[in-house]
Amino acid sequence: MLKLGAFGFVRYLFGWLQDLCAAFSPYVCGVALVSILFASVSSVTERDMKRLVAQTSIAHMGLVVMGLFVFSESSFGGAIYLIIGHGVTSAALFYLVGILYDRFHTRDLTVYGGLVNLMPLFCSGLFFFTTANAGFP
Amino acid sequence: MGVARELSLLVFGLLVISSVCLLYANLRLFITVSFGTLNKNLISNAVSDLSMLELFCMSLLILNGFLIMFGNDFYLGWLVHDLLIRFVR
Repeated sequence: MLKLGAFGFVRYLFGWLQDLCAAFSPYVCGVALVSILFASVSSVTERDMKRLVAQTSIAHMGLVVMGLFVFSESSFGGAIYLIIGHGVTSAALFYLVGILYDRFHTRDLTVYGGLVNLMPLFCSGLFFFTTANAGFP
Repeated sequence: MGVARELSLLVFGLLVISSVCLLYANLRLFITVSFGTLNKNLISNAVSDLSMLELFCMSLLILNGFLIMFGNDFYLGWLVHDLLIRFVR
């Protein structure tokens, strides 16, 4: 759903109201920056796994909005690339958190630990997608 | 480079701080779940790993991730330069 909003920006808002978007771009970038900062700082202390993934998603989408409203070709390409990549990584992280919740019925991060010996395939996938979500590759 | 040219140093610093926070949050998620002490009250030794369906779905997502990493020409060429770039001034 977050990506749909960004697609709406690109497909309709920039097509119909391009001058207005250019006039308001500093304000939109400011709001996006505040949302990035707030979501990323609050994700540091988050204990609920699903909320943690959601807050990192908010931060990523703030970066996407900022890239779109800078109005340069490379930032636009980067924003689209981030939309596509984030579509895969956030879906996968929500899926992995759902697997854990299905087995143990809690989303509290602090009660988990030591799953690498019991669920190695799960932990491999979690490693791949958390590093992808952090922007490692 | 396009973004960095347009932003001030303060904004760039704030973006660096937020990216470090995101890195910490994601790695904390992985390290806490995978390593550390096993909670015996919650997790028994008989817990099963991924089922075949779950493994298939995760493999599909990982394949998509690799396609995005190494197949930039397909995704960006198809989406940006053909469809969306017309809206950029």
